[in-house]
Amino acid sequence: MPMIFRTMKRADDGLPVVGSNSKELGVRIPPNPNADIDLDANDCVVLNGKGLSVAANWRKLPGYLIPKCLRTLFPGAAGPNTLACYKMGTGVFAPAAVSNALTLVLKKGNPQSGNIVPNQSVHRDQFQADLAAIRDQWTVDET
Amino acid sequence: MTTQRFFDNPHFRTYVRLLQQLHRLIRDGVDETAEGEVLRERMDEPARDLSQEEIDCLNGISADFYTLGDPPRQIQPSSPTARQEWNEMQKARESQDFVRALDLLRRNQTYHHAATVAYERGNIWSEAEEKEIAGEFFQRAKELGG
Repeated sequence: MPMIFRTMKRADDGLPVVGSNSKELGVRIPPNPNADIDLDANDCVVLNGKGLSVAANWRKLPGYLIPKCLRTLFPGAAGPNTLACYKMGTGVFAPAAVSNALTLVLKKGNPQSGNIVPNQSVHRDQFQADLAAIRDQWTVDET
Repeated sequence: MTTQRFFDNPHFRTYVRLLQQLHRLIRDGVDETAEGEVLRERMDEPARDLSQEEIDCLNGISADFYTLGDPPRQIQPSSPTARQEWNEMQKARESQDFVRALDLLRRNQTYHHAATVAYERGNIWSEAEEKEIAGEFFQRAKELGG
């Protein structure tokens, strides 16, 4: 399983907040203007590479996603301190399975970032449930 | 993703203007508000169309914006390399290589008075036709110059 990083809101139990808002473990759905995925007429996820955004390392993320409390490690950090940098997996950052239902694909033009997408077109609720199912595999890593 | 890069990439310029607004909120201590959240969400769209090199550059610029509010650092003794890079920075600005100019200035900022550094940043942003950003750095140079 590839090693992937994502900054997300931290819940009281230390794991990422599950949801469909920005910076949560889940994707934003149309008609949200910042939707992370496209849906077909049956509300199934279109397999076009869009999904939950992740990076090869938290230091590869734009600064507004990195909590300001990490400024001493990363001078451009400008994200809210309600976020934490989470990591899961141990392998090379390359297209591969993330779980039985999810796959990492790399973004065109930036091999340091990617999206977690469904293995096959599934209903949006199924995709959200598949993302929530990997919640306990994320650990905070801000090193 | 556009084939235009850095200052020729409209997504890069959109991001940097939003970043400037975000840093104003940070300086005012009101970025962790609904307004700040909306602003950061607006940054998602241009960020999607940036290369890793552009993101790295913008993260350096984010660090530069912090100097608009941070207390000035103590000046370190200069060196021949630092003086050479300062000259290269000015040449890069004159040749409109703004990415290199900003990077060289950042690498050598500890060798110069903070007012001078802020003034040079203002010059670079002015040459880059980002007058509002330039104005903030010129204002900071004035404050620091006493």
